Amino acid sequence: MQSPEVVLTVPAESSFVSLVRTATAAISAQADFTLDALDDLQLAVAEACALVIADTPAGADLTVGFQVLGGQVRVDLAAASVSGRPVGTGTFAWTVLTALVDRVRTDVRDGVLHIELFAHGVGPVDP
Amino acid sequence: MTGSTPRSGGWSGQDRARERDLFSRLAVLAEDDPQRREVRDELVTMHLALVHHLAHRFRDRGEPHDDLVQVGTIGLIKAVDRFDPDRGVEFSTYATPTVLGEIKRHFRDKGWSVRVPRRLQELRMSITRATGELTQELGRSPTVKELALQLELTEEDVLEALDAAQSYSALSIDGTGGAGSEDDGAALVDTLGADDSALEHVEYRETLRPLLAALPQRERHIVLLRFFHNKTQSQIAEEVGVSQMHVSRLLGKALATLRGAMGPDA
Repeated sequence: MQSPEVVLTVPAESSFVSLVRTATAAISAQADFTLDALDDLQLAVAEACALVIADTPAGADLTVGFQVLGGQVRVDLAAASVSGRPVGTGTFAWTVLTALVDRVRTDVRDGVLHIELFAHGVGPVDP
Repeated sequence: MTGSTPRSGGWSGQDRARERDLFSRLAVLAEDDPQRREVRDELVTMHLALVHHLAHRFRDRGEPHDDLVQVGTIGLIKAVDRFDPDRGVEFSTYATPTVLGEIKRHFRDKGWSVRVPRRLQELRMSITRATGELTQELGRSPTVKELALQLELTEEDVLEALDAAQSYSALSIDGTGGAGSEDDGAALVDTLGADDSALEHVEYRETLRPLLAALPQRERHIVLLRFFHNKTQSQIAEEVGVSQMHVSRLLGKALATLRGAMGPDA
């Protein structure tokens, strides 16, 4: 099953992270994620939000795109970056992200920092 | 009141004499006398059963028993410090309201009983139960769909309850460091090295080590298991003896603490 991308745009402030988490849970449930996998993805998304938000100029938006691809969910978090640098792979945050999801990608394109997370649900996948 | 506490049942005359003796010694020992601590510790240990008994009364409120015992013990310590044996009141009678007060304050501080509707609290508890059962049965944690089927609920209901559990955890992050965290922190520094060879290969371990050490013991243990030993939340839940949902909350809380302490560039 490949769903259309769902895009959520919120102010890049920590008080809106819970909204992104809630959306993450709903999308993961749609993709038949187990609770373990769902919680892990939520934690990863919260961590990625914190990373992105820490590097945004005041008043910026955080855009989060969700897509279900087979038993996988892809989450793409993006916001304007002040530093113009992607997330350092030697950081604790990076360890956390890579432990929680299958794959993490980060880069800066046109001044926008992206963190892309790929996770699978470990649940039963429709034959 | 005396008849309802566990100590009257299990206590011998010897225990009572010992208790009297300890309290009279406590009364004369100076604040900074090292013996004072020993006497106080023994009195606290002697009455831990009372705390367990009182914490048990709150067993259906969705808080882990251990947490309630922890806050209840703070009440017990306060009671030991304030008790005056010359008043002619049994210590357990004197301590009960103080211990209960701390436990109730814990619920109030968490904002749990106030902010989360009763229906969601109950839902959360049945989800915790069903998650445990299904994890046993399936050999992995259940999906939202499976939980909904088992509990005869809609998937939206299950999601809503999971979400409520999380907003509850968000509240507790803002609260104080958690009961007993100071003591935990001190003891931890000693155990950290032994506990984790997995940290050896982490390049920023020198930054991470003191921060991990400052986490309450259980949170630190869970963080290490999840991120450095790659255990699943369900496996950790089983190992640590709490629910998967609780592991998830503790992980979220620990990460928020670490994130705050370390900053984005660490």
